Amino acid sequence: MKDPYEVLGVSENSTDEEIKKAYRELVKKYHPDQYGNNPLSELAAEKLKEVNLAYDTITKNRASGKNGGSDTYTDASTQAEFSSIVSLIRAGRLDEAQMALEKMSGNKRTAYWYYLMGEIAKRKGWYDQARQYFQTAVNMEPGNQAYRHAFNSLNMNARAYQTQSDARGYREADHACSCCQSLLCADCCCECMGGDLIACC
Amino acid sequence: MTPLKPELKIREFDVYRAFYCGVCKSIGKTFGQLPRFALINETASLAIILTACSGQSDFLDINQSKCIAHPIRKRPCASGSQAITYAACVNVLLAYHKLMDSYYDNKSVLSKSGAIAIKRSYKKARRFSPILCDFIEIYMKDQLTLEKNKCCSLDEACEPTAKMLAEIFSWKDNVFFDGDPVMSDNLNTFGYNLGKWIYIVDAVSDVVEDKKKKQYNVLLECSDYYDFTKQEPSENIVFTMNMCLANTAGAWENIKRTVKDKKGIKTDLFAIIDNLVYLGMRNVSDKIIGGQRSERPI
Repeated sequence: MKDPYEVLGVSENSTDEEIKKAYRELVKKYHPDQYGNNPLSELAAEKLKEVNLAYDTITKNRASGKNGGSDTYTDASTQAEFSSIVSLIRAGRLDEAQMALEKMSGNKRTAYWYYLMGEIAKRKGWYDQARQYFQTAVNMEPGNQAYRHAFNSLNMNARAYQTQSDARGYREADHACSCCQSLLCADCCCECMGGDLIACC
Repeated sequence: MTPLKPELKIREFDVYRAFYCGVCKSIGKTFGQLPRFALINETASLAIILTACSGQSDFLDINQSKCIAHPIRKRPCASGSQAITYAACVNVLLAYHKLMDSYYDNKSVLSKSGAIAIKRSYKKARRFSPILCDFIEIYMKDQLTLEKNKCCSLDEACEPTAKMLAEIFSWKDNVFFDGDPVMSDNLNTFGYNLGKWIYIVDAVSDVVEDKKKKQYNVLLECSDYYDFTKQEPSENIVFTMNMCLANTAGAWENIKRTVKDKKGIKTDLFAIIDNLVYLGMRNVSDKIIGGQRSERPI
């Protein structure tokens, strides 16, 4: 299938309004009424079909947040851009990867874009941002298991430390603390009633 | 970053104190007496961690000796590891910047005079490790610029401090680990996450005061970072702190795996660092999250 943007003669970065305008003009141009019995009418009808299909795909994809990069008519350049960024991330060249991602224009910022940004932030140690990016990716494509997994494992990671610390006997220190607290509490109560439990405070 | 004392063995506690005294003594010997009054807890930990990572623990010597702070009873004091001298140098550099910082922040005359007093030692430390000194200056300047521009992103605000500690821990001119890149990477991660955690702990413990004095604090720049009615940091902050702790601990586990020879003094050093990482830091974190002021982070 042809690139729908190419069919409408617009760029991927154009707004919905521009696309609608281009579509209307093409419909006018290829409308069968224009040709009557002209032998070109058959060609025009075919063109019109193509235009309709292209417009449908674009609007559908934009509504679901994919902006034209779906697998069926892969936008090859975007796909290549993403895969080169992935290899940058794998090589640990995070700053370059981030710069390449930030250069990508608004309609290429798909759920996958947010996922990659989250991955970079995570590796850089920018945990707060990483979680926000993963969250956005999940919100844009709730069905995607990879995004959900990234988000969940980040949260699990944060909890892991406490388990390890507990295993090393932290809980006892915690108990000691609450023990002190309750003693202090008891002392305060006694003082309220005019007595004293701990003389020095 | 201090160990949780009740959980240390007495023997381990003696080693910890020996490092503390060792760093202090080393400052006096190499950089002058005055900065000894500006001793930073974390540098003792730095000396312990770097000694544990290097092959230098064999040369470690723990003597009983007297000093100004403890003139009557002798205390254990560690020497013989290059990591101790390095930690002393880092201490002087950081202490100077800390004083200058508080002078810029509060225009406090006391800080300024303190800074002037240790200026000579600072110059000595600069001669000892000129590139590290430049690095620290750059990161300190970055931090100041961020704060002047009222940076409102938590991650961005932590970055200079975190990177500075990463650099300090994995300093490439250090001969302790023969330039082993894996060790250097692990120490870098360790320092980065530790630095980030320290910055956040500091920010949380100062937030109420900073609000009163109308000073910069990253938690004040964004409404959902700190809950003033409950007096506790929000969930994002706790999450980031936990991530830092988890990654510090992870880096430490990796280091432990690469350091093989774990005999003699090393077992004590390892036990102390385990305590620092798993109990000491957790303790400070829990206090901070509970809304109490911590004792004294960096």
